Amino acid sequence: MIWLLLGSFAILVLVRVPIAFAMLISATIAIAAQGDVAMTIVPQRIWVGLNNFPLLAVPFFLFVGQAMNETGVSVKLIDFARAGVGWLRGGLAHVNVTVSMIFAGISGVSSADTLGVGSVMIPAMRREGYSAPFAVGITAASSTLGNIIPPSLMMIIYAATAGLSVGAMFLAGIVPGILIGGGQMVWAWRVAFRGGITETASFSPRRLLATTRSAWPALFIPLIVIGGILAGVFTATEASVVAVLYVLLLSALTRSLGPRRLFRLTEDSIGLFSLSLLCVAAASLWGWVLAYYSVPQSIVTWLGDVGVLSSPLRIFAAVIVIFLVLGSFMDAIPAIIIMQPIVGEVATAGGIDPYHMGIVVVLTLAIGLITPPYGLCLLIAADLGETSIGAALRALAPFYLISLAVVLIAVLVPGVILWIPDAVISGQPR
Amino acid sequence: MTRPAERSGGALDLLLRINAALAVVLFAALTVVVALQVLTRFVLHIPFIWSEEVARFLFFWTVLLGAAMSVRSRRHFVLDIGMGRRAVTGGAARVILDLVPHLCVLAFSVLLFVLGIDYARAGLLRTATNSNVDMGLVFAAVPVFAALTFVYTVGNLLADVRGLRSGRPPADQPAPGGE
Repeated sequence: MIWLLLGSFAILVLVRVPIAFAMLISATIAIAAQGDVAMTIVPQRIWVGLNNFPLLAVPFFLFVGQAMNETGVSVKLIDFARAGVGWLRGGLAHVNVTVSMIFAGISGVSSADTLGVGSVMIPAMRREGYSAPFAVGITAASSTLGNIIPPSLMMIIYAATAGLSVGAMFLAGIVPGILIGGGQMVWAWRVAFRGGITETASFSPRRLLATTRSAWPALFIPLIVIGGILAGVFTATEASVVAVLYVLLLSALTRSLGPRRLFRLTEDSIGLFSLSLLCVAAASLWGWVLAYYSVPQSIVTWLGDVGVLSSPLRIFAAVIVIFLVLGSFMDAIPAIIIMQPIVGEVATAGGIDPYHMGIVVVLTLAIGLITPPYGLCLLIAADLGETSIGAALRALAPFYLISLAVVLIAVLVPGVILWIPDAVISGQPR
Repeated sequence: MTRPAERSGGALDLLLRINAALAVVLFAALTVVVALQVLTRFVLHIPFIWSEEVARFLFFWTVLLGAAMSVRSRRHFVLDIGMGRRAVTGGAARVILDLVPHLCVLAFSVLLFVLGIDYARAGLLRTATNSNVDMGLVFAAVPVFAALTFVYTVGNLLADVRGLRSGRPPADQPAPGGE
């Protein structure tokens, strides 16, 4: 029956049935063919999958990100970053990375970052003499930080399906986010130096002050979210709803969102977060069928026989390869949801800390956002820059190396990554 | 849904507007409930016992209503292995590629509707522990989602058939929601 599950899933997905429905349908077929379980398990697992309080952070963080884009915050953040780092050699490239890092602290969705930052930054960089592929590449690569620097949609989904603390998972993303962002800025400096790009804006404290004044309402959100979780004041879900209240209050004070636009924005956000969450519901049924046939355990036994489980390094190598491939063909959320039951089991069997495994999975899947054919951030950025994917890929090569290097660091020296959650996690609820 | 296509479009739009309005109202209620929970924990130091439960119920309904809306707008995640519909030109292959997903979702939504009604009816006999909400009311989101999915998929199917017949390329898959 397990082949019925996997086979029908593969066929359904290949004929372009949406992934969530393909999971639901193939699991239903397997259950019906098995015949010894009441079919009401289907609606029951949909309920169980969504009846999970930490998942409530998904709609709230998504709404905040959408609201920020809608009210033109990205432009204010760009002005601020320009005053802050625009005077460095390769100024606009540094601005691009910096804005993405700040944006990542507001929104948990990378593609919103690509669109919001890229539509302003790519044309600006081309005007200053950067090649279009490089502008596209750095925009796409830096927007992957949206899912690494907290909040992060991928991390909420991973933590919620694995039964981990979303807050601790978030905190594990801070160091890798800074490492990747820093690496990208070093590379940008080198490109600007070699390409003879001298554009810089002179540093002016007055401009920095003025842009800070117009950008501070947005800058306050990462402070609430990251600061609140770091200090142990909020859980991730609480931080998310506080951020929503803050955004609503702000837009009421500045009258930047009328009731009609607010309604449309909410409607759009609901359509957007339901995509990931329907996958979560479908995966609850799918995972139940997998567990019914004890697939995760069988895979663990098989991996043990093959010798993969003998060292954590081999486990990580296998996990990284699998998620690099999956991430380039499908969205990260279904990839996490389909594989998490197995990955979690394998990590336990290999004696790997669940947060260590989680952050490696998320970092690897973030690379999938800029890998064809289904690299969403790459597709959006290439479209904005009117560049072919092939040309953008050459410019992206060093960025892959930077991200992979940070994945390696996360695998080999987890202490560098996990010290923040380790330090904070003591005495924190969820 | 046996009506002429233009009319079904109008009726569908109305249904979609009601669907969206309901989802927005429930999402607003969800925000208020969770916000109250946080505020009471910080200000009054007494947590509402019913708030977390009610929040989860509102969340369940909001997600399923939203997922139905995304069926209409064709935003649900699809596997992309690069040989999408554009690579296949003309003929039967094209028709199959375009219509099969709809038919699969249609068949499933019928089954889910029947199962969901059973499940919700079983839930009518139970109330939630802290909030006394009838669980049948909560579980009813499943058959509602199934019914809406059915109607929207029929609408999309008809639109694609019309597109195929007139030789126009079918409504393109819009950019997915992203992550």
